[in-house]
Amino acid sequence: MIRKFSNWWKEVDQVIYISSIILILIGIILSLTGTTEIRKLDYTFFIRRQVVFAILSIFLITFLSFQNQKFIRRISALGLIASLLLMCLIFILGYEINGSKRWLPIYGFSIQPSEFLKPFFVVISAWFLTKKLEGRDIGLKIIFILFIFSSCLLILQPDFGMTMLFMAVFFAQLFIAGLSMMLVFVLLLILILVGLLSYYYIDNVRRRIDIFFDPSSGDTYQIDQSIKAFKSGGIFGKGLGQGTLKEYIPDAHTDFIFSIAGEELGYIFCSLIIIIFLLIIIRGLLSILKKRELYSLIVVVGLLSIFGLQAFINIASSIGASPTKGMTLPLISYGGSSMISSSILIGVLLSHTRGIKNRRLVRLKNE
Amino acid sequence: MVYKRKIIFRLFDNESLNQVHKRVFFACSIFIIIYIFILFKLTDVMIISNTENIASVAIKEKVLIDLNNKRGSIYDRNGVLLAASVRSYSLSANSKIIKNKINLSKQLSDILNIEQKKLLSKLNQNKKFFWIKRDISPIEHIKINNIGEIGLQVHKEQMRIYPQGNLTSHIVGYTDIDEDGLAGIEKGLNKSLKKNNDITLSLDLRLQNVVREELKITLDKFDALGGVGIILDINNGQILAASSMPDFNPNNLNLSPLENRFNSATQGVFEMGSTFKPITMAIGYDSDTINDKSLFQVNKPLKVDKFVVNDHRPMKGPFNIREIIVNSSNIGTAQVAKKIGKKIHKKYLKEFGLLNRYSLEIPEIGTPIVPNPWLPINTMTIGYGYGLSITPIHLCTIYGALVNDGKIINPTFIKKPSADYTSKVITNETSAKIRQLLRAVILETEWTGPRAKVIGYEVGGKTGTAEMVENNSYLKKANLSSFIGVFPMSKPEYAILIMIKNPKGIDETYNNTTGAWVAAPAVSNVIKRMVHILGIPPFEIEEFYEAQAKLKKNKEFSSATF
Repeated sequence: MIRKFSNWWKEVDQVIYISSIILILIGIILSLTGTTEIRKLDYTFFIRRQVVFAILSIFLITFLSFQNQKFIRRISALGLIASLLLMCLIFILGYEINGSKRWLPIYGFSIQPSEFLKPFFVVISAWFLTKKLEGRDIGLKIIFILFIFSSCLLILQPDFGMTMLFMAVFFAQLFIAGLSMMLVFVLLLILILVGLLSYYYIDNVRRRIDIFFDPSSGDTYQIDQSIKAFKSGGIFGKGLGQGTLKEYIPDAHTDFIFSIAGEELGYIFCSLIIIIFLLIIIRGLLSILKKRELYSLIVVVGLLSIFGLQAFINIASSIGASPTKGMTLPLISYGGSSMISSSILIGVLLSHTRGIKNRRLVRLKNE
Repeated sequence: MVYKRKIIFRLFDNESLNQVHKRVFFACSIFIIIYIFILFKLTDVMIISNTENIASVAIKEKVLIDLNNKRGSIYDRNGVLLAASVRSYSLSANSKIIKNKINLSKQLSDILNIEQKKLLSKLNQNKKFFWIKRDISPIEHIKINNIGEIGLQVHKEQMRIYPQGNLTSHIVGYTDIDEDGLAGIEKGLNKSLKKNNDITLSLDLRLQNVVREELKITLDKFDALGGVGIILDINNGQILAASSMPDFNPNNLNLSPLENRFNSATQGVFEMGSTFKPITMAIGYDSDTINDKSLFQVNKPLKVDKFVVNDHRPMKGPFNIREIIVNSSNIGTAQVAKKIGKKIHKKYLKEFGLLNRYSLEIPEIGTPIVPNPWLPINTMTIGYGYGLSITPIHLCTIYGALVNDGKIINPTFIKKPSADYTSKVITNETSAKIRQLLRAVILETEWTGPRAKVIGYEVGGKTGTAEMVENNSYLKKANLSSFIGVFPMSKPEYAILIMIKNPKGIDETYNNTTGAWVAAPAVSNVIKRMVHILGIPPFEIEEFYEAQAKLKKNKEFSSATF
């Protein structure tokens, strides 16, 4: 057993593994302070839940990073089917928060199936794309049908941000799979077109975008408060638990957790968080290049696009650099669905990058 | 087959597979660029455009040490002290460096009037820091200094005190141990107070006391969950009294549970129920959708899709606008709202300021909960006060505007020489109509009128009884009972709102917990007491009865025509 672990430790990408755990720990610390206002109900409710989910996440990351690609594919296929079914079920059983139906009540928990869709879909689409490149055309049809079906479910919720993210990620995978430049431009055009259409046809989206370009046109309360929080934080922050943002924004511990970090822990700490995210992305992309295996490459690019774009959108919207989007900060934001989903993502990533170092060592020895 | 292969060839550029490295590097650089962009933006927000704040953080630490910098005081509109900082001295010791403990304990015992034994046992603790006595007098301070013992230390401490305790708790707020405001005016005007500026509030402590007392009596009588009481000066938007129950003692925050610190008057958002009906009528009159001759059938419940609009008791129509308001008919009001239509309705509500937050000097401000999406049925239910949640301050402000020729005045907690009008939202004629409607409620209703009226003061108003919401569903048995009164109706000066959360039925009211039974008498009592305090003379009684008789005649006349 111990040997198994020590082998695993040698093979696993330690930088990504440790960085992820650091992010999870930051999440615990921030949820400890960020939820004080809601915590009134029960003093330790949120922190207890966050710790339970953190332990579960670390376990999931470790467990998945042990697995081989075949196992990951099987799990993903099951997971993809399950999340699609649950997303259909939402339209019958789900309930509305802020004008969108995204949540499904199960045994007192609310889960957000669309969170789980992302990592599973990326694995399956990579598999079918590789099959396609190996000459089996059927793969392409299946994956396009799956893609369109999932996008429709997302847009019907309606979850505009998630749909755009989902499309962008699939696009990135196609791009890596060697989409011809001509089609790259066509797809980019389509993405822009979808964006414009939803601007004109989805009220919620239009409002948020209008507010971004013309703050006077609506209620920019959350962003104003968030920026005020960043400003009051300064270089070193006010100190843990000293922030006041959470008293003004009810869901500060999910969408605006980065602002809490800014207010209480300051500029240096925030820059560190951004650098850790960038580190995971660059490290993942560069190390997978060494593997010279197209399937892994497409999977990893998909996973890191989800991870990187989601973190980027969350941070950018909390500092007022993009319209507000209900998107969580991977591994850090409070919330079971989001945490489990991002740890599945990291786990799968680690399983695909595992052993790269070793292989190089072996090769060196052979030489 | 050939055709298919062609497509594939176009879809994926096989050549480019060899360039996969380039594409991955391209993806890498995109990520690096966007992350550097947010890093730059973060630096901009937190450092570059924030130099002032960063500098002030450094200064703040200095300020904390410099206790001579005294925080400003807060007064009510008549100069009564509501919050002040006092200085005190405390004595501590470090027994590790005190040599002659017995001698010192003797000296201290003389100065501080504490038993020598007690002092000696304290000094023998062998600790680096412990308090000997908190809050010592200046004379004791000088005497202790004269002992010249380096093991003793006198600490200057500053404390915030609130002489009025619970009475002004939510408005004045409280500070932390470093005298940084944490709630209420203390927080909202923290910067100004820190610069040693005194602040005079619009509150009148006498009226605040009246409102709180009447609120408390009502809460106890009906065993209610909580309540809100507000007096607003309609002509300048100044809030003369605002009480939210339960409250807390800012001098000792731990005495009451955390929930008590919630300011329902400004931060709580509620579906107001029938008090919304006059607002709907104002929109109707002002947009020429209805007039005095409009009639609406109220005999049958109104069915819209799956939803049924009902009245609290069956009524026999058709009703004109005055009868709808006087009988508080949901069916009638829903039809008026429907006739107004979503677009105009929403436009007016926005102009009235009911869809946005108000700016107030305290940070505890509630944001209205606006239906999203706004369906035609929402327009109808909002017509009689369901589906749009607003704060009690919103309600008082809009009532003030409706009776005051449509002039919206931003409410304020600060005593100012002049009011800031923002806009005029309805015509003088509409405003006159609303005044008549509100007066008619008092003169013509069977239950509300007699309970709310104060002879000689021309009170007008409207009751509201809404089902309370919890966990997204209406509690059938828990009411939010309210009454908003305005007086004197011929030239409105004050708006008074009393709102009671979840009153329980009692024998005296035949188990009724509606606004008329619960809140209207409280408003009436508040008015009776405040006219004495403010010295407002009554109108000529004879004139009053004459006017009443005239109105009665009008009523007979109007019911005869229909």
